[in-house]
Amino acid sequence: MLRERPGESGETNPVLQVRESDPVLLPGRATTNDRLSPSALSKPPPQGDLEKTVAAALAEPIDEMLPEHEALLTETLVQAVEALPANRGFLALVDLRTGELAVRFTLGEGWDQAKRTARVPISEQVGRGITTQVATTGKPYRCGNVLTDPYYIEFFSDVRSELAVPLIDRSGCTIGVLNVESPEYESFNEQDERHLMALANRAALALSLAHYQAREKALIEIGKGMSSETDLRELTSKITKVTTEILPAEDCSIFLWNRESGKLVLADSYGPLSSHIGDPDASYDLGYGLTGWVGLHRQSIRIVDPAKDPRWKGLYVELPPKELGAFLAVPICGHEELLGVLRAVRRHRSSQAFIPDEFTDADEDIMWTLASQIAISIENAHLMDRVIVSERMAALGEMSARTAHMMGNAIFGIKGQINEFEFLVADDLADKATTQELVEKIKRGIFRVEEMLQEFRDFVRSDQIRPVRVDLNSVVEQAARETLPADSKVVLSLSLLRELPLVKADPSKLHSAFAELIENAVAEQPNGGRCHVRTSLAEPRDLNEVYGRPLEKPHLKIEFLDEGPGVQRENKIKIFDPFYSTKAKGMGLGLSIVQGIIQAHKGTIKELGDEGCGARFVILLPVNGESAPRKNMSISPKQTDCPLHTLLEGET
Amino acid sequence: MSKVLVIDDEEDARSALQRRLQREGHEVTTTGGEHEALDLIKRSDTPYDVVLTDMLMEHPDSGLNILKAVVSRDLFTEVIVLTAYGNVANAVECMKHGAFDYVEKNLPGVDVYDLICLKVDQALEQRRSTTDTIRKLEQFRNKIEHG
Repeated sequence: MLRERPGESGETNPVLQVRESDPVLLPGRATTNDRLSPSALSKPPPQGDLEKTVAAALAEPIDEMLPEHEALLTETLVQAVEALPANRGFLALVDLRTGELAVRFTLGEGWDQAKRTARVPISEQVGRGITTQVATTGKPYRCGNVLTDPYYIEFFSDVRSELAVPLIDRSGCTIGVLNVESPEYESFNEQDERHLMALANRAALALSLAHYQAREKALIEIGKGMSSETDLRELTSKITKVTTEILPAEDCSIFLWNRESGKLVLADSYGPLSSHIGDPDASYDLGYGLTGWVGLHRQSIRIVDPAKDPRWKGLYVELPPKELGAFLAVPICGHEELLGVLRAVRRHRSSQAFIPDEFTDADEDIMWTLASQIAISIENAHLMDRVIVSERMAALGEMSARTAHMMGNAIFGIKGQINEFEFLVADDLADKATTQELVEKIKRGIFRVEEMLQEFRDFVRSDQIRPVRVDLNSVVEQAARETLPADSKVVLSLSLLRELPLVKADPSKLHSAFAELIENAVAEQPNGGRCHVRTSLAEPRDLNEVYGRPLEKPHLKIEFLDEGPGVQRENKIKIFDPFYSTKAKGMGLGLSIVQGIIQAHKGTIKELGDEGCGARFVILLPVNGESAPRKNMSISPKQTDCPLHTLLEGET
Repeated sequence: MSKVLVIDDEEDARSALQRRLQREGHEVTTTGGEHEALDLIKRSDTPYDVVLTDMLMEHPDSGLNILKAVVSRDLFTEVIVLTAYGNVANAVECMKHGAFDYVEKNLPGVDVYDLICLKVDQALEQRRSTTDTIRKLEQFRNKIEHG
């Protein structure tokens, strides 16, 4: 069962060369005391006859085992002690990170806190103690008289016989040791050994299951991230973190293929490499080093001692070469091209073969799965970009044609007026009033063409924003002040939440968007009415209402309410289409420009009013990560309920 | 005096065409929308001699709808379709359905209003010659039947 690696067979040879048996540390010994984990010692004392300790210091997946697995392991130990002529027993598990054997479940008398949480660093105590010996060799060990046994170290004074069997996982590694002892000599026979081995196999299966369950959970976590995470960077950081934890590995990094530079560039890392993210030099040429090799050949590499591999260049190493235990890298392949490389390294954990450094088939499978998930995300992101670009190009094409047509019509009208003017002037028939009227018409026509050009330009540029940190309230306030005509019959009021978080936004673009919405509200109420603008922090129900699904990111909400006729249900989406207009003026681009501006800010705008009860435009803008909230500002949702101050009232 | 109907949603274009065509001696009616135009065509005491219509107003096929209405009122009323940029295809479609001609509103360097007057004259000429021919045919038939 045991995997032997070159150069280590001597150390792992199960020849009886060491004495004493208990793997558990003796608290009195300085050497072993050093290895006691402080957090393990701080665990609360167990209760009852059946004592169970979970060493908190253990961070490997077996700690995340489900209650049923824990129960099964506990039950295994109980059965072992009950079925065999034993008075005491324990189950110790291998901590893959530290290479220690840690007592996890104990049964019988005499267990104190130190013994219950004992850990033995097998790597440095080759074959010392029966349990360690079993873990190292992967073979059962039966002793009828511990007093004469060369391995035995006294741990409990009443012990005379001892039987220990290994827990072996599917890949053949020792993952733990099941140990029972008795105050009688020659207590255990061959049949007992077989019996205990059967119990140990069952326990090993439970542990493997727990391990796979942890991996499955992690994969599901990532799968969930795929659907809800639009930000590639957040997904890659999730993947590197999860991978590091479930393999486990010292570092997991993602190098993404950069087409411009023709290099694999470090995009994310969870571990020592993370400090190099963003460093332009943290990259591999295709074919260079292990990472470059994986990228070039689009094949995985799974090796131990990577520093000894001829392909290894050690450009960006997570660990000093001597500490590098194993290397696993898989390519991230897209439909047609290489997208990157996902890699993990493991620290050289032990000189013992029973905790091999090497990554397993299952590890590699996981890496392939994760790589394909990343690939899908990257390709989706690219696809989205392309769709957006092509949609926009199509919209621009349509826009240009429509604009040309509308301007052509307008110019045709102007030409006609000029013709008339020319006729009147040529024949000296013109009276002043008539010429004046014609000139007015020509001027108006030219203004209209200019307006169309302006609208067209605004539309084209609506997605080009120059974000700076802005206070939305002041943008709203200014837009309101400047937009409402002095002689308007519409009352304009504002409710602005004090201390709104600053957002990164283009104030002039938002200004024109807000102005357009206010203008619309005024235009919809020619005989007077109200227009109310409100800023607040979006609550979950707002996000649900606008996005149709819950979102976790905080958003600001800006509402524009009026008392006009509102928007018919069937037009609620159409109003944002280019050229949709109920007004004679302009080209009907107004709301589509507003929408373009809001979308460029990664926000959303919707009309959510009830038909006949006035329009209600709701804008949600994400409070982006870079915009730290202002000092002394609370962004608790409660605040949205307390209104605020009315800033400005239009004339009635 | 010939009856001309001008249909265009551009107020400036309507008024300029009206004044110009009136100076040319036509009786000009103008309207800015498809529905009003269809109404006028249906209700006029005598059919229009020439209808000048913009190709695209509320709907892309406004011009076509008007053409059909005109033809069903009087087969020999001539229709001239005006198009702005990019609507030549629609104008050609109108020609297939029997429009007299189409005029592009924005021909660079061309006084389109002169061109329109010319086309209106040609259309009237065509209408006259067609109605003449019809009249002669009817006379001929009468002669055969009665004589």
